[in-house]
Amino acid sequence: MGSSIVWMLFGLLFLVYSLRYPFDTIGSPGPAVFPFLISVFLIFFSGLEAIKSYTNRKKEAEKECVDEASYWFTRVCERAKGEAGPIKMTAVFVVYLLAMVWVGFFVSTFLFVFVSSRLMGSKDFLRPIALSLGIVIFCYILFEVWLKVSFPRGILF
Amino acid sequence: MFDHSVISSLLTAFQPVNLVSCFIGAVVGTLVGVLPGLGPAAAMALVIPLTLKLGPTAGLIMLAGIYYGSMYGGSTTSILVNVPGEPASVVTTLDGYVMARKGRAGAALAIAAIGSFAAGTFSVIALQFFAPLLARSALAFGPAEYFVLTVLGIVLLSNLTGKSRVKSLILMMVGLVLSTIGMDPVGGVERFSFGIDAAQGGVSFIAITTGLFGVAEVLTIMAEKEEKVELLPVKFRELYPNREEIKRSVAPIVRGSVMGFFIGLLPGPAATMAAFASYGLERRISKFKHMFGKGAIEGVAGPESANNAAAGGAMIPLLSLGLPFTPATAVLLGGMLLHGVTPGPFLLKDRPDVFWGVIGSFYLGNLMLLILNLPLVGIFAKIVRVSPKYLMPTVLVLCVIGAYGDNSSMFDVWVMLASGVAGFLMRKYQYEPAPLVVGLVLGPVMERSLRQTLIISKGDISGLWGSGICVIMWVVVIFSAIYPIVGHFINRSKKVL
Amino acid sequence: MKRRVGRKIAFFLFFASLFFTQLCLQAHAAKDDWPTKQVELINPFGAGGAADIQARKLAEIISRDLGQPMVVRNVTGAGGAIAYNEVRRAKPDGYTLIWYSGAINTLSARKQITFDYTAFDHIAGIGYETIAIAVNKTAPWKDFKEFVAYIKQNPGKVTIGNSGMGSVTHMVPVAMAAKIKAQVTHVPFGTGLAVASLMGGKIDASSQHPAEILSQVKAGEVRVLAVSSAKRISIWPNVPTMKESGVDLVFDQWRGFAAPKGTPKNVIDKLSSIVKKAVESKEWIDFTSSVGTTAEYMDPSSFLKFVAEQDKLTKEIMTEAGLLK
Repeated sequence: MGSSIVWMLFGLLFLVYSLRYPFDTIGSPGPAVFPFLISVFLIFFSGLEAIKSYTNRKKEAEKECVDEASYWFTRVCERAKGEAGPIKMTAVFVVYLLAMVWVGFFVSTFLFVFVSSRLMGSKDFLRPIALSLGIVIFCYILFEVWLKVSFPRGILF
Repeated sequence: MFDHSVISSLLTAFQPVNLVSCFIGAVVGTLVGVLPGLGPAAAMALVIPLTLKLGPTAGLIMLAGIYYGSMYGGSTTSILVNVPGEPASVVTTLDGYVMARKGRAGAALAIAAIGSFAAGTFSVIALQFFAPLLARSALAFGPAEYFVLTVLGIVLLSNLTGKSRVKSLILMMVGLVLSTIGMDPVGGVERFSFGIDAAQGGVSFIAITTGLFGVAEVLTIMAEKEEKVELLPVKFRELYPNREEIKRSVAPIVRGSVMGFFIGLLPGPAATMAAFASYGLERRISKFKHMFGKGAIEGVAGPESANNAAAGGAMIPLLSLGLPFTPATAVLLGGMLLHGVTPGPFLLKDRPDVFWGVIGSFYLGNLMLLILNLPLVGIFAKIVRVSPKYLMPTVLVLCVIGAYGDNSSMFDVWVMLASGVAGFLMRKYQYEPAPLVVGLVLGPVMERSLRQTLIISKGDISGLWGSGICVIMWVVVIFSAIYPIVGHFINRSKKVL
Repeated sequence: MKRRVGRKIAFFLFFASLFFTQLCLQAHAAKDDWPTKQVELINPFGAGGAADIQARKLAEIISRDLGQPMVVRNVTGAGGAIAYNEVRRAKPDGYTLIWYSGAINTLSARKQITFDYTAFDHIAGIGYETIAIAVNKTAPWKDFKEFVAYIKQNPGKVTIGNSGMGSVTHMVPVAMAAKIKAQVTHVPFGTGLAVASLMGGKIDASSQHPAEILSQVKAGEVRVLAVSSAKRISIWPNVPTMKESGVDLVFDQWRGFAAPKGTPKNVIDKLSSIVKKAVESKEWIDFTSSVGTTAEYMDPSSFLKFVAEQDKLTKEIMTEAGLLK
């Protein structure tokens, strides 16, 4: 149910935002028309889902004879389990992308591969570093030299 | 006419220089398909200056090789690491990746290659014999017909994943909403950029799909690390599909080839839609319905054949009318003009050497790709056995390159990360992200055709059902929308009784 | 003990890789001997279109004299605004150029970019590309005069496809309608799709660059009623200009090269003379006439003057048509 409310808010954001653009006439529909219609549909379907999951949950709650609050509590606890890994990884990823602006693609990628490999459970240093080095050299030769795709350069390098 | 021209075509393609060009094109194409972020259109554009030195026949054979080669390679990363290399292979992740995690990566890859070969060959045969006939039919589709077609796509694909229909529809709408970010496709007005300069160009399709599938998968693996996923050791013989898997794949390959070919005749994201449509169809009619999403071989065989057949189908409007309907065929047309070759009805008369050379190279190239890809299956399949602590960082870098390479924009990389986190959360809350991709692909076509229809009809809504084709499609739309609701009530009343 | 060694190797590899990346990035050199590395030509148009194939062909000819490759990179989106933004922000060192065209005029007039042509140093104009008004082979109008007369009698009824609102292919029918004081309905398409819709009879006419309809004209699928340039073009000697047909309108797409403001003068002069040689080469002239464009070199100062005039003209047409709000 929580998730459908998130979608509803998402639809509402675009619905409100689309009002800033012109609708014009039906013979020449403006840029607001399509996003407006789609957001309405999105809100409708997420409303439907909210109602559906609410009634389902009521049934479940009745079956298990637990009250609403404790039901939610156990669900949230269940779901938050094992969340540390993904959160750490996301944080490392954010730092990686920010670092790219400063030290460029190659250096930051080198560090990122090393750190994330450690995060995923590598115990030693040698193999993650060899992997990082391999990836960086591979990217350089394949993309930069051969395919002429240029990666972001940092301020420092 | 046929016997003589077929022989001459094959002879042209067998000339050493053409043979080599075909091979290089096929290899580069496979590589392009495997690497996310470098699409066939961009790669072909890069190679054009090189082909100018080869002359028209060999040059165009090489470009065409890249074009269909990329369709072969696209499935590889989808199956192995859940990162779609091309938009058209998004749907392959649904069952292909699950198969890989169950130790059947080799089977999935091999079936994808065989299906691609069969579909590619089928589409060349159809191209050779029916091109002028079919090209005309593509012209019957105008804006109104496209609009209904997109509505039909949404309705028919709303049970793509076979889980909650409402959840699928929500995600399709989210995809449609996201597709409106950036410049409005009709009036050129900036929308929903939320003050970010880079968002003016819209959100990159590749960024969102690599995020939703690739990055989200890595995060999911991290979350379940405690359980320790141990992959079963695979014997060499088991790398390839067993008899049952082959048997189950035959019908989906045939259906996918035929359907994909016809969808390929139409403009827009034909290959992607063909793959989705084939998946939807197979899931609906398969004897193994319950297996879909859990590693059904049909879910790989059908879509992979369909997108290759669509790539072949898209050659028909190009060769017989000179109309490029996809970015990749547009580059092919550009390449032809640079070589002084004008595609269209006169191509066969003016430059039979080029025409038959290219057609002949299609047969040959498909065979080359099959021979090239089957041994690679063994090598690729070993990749899934690499420990996640080495594989996953590599996958993440691959995702970053893919998202960045599309437009050389850091904004896209951030979009990818955000989609990755969103995709991770979606899975947690039992939302399958594939329908979002459908919305994202159909969005621009849907909006453009809706507005064009209204402009052409001067605001008369009946323009939306102005032709016979439209009316038929609307009937199908209404029927498919009502059917599940009615079915639901029938089931319920049965239960009551 | 063993672990120690591993660590040492690890640190060695770490610094080795830092050194390696550093080496790769050292590619900048002095400005005098421009160019010392590849020159990037940013193309705001998608790969494969008329604008793109010309850019690629010309870049190939120029590369021969430049001593370094000129590489075309497509930066599409937002009608070209993204590409123009990128080049304007690029270092003015002559290594980043824009495949310059009438889009700069329409983009700035519609305020899709916050600057105009004055934000660039003009290097060379390379020629014009006319806009053709094409109709289906079964259309009732014999020539452009009949077409215009029909529009006047049936205001708003005729649908004309173009390749996008605000593009040059949109400007021409807009200006034409204003000149004959009549209404037409503009239907924006992407390229390719407009021609398909024209052939399928979904729209009445389409305003298109010659390269987009070459094969359809040759096949007799579509007929060209008029072209918008001052003179008839060599591939279609029988197609009159609009002016000959009684509509006083001359409006072309133009193309050229420009660099971000502040590019050294010696770089501009050197490049301009190389472009001149390429544009006047037989190879380029043959190629352009085969796709229906006209090659004509303009030096930096006259090119700047020309673009300024076009800018004024574009704004006039757009104001007249009520496209500027």
